[in-house]
Amino acid sequence: MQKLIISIFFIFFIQTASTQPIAYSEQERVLFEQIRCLVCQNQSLADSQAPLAVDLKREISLLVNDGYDDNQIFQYLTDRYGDFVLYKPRFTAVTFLLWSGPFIMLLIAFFVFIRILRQSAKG
Amino acid sequence: MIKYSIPLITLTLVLFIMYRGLDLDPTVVPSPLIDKPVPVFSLPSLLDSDTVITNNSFIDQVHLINVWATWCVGCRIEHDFLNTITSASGIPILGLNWRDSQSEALLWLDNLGNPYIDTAFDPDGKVSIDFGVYGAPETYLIRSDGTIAYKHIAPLTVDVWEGEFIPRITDLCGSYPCRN
Repeated sequence: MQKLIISIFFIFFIQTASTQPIAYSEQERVLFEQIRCLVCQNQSLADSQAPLAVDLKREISLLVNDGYDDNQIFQYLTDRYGDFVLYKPRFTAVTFLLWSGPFIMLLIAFFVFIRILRQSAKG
Repeated sequence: MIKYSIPLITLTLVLFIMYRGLDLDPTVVPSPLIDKPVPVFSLPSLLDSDTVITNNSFIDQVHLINVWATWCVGCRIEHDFLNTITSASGIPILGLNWRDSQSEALLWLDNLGNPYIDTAFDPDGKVSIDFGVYGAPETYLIRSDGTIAYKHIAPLTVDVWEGEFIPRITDLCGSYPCRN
């Protein structure tokens, strides 16, 4: 009986020991929050345990250890996976409309509004 | 007349864009590697660990790179089709085995047939990341100058092959089947 209890205790002990999360630095954790897991697209790397996410976290950790800054890591990812991999896509020729579209619409609405005001003032 | 046509045109445009959006598949992420050279890599062959496969191994030939794994259901679905096209298309298929066990991968090729001219073995997925792989199976069409012409995500089917690959291969080789 005693042996059984001890072996059960060890099973739990081994279990918890093997599921210890890897200790990531602050920079890594902040980075992982901003990167999309492409396997499960509505999860960030930080949330995901998908095999690809695990691999990407490992590679990013290596780059961080090599002294890469955030922008260099974003570049590394977008070179391979495109802008979609970042939750906050960078401002480039491709994402120009995405970022400036709402402001352009607002500007158009503003001019239409002025025109209507002027017309109704005339009438 | 002009007063009504502007909102009408705007509405039509918005509806058109939204209608287009219905057909878009968010799981297909366009690759930034199209028209770029194949990523530099050097991996052992799955079948013979002493043989090294690099990005230059099949240069000067139009070829396919097919990402597969034994845990990948879609890969099993397309495997028969790969067996068919490997002889019919005249272009070599280089396998890229992704996050897999060597013994299981070898067993898979023994059981289901080996359509690959060779398979690069990438158990930790590092080279696959350089290829921008996120969901196997993925198939890349490589030009003879070593640049990527096209990438298909999901199993290869007759429709995809005839619609997307054959026209491009004909373009690159001047004929189909290709005479490299």
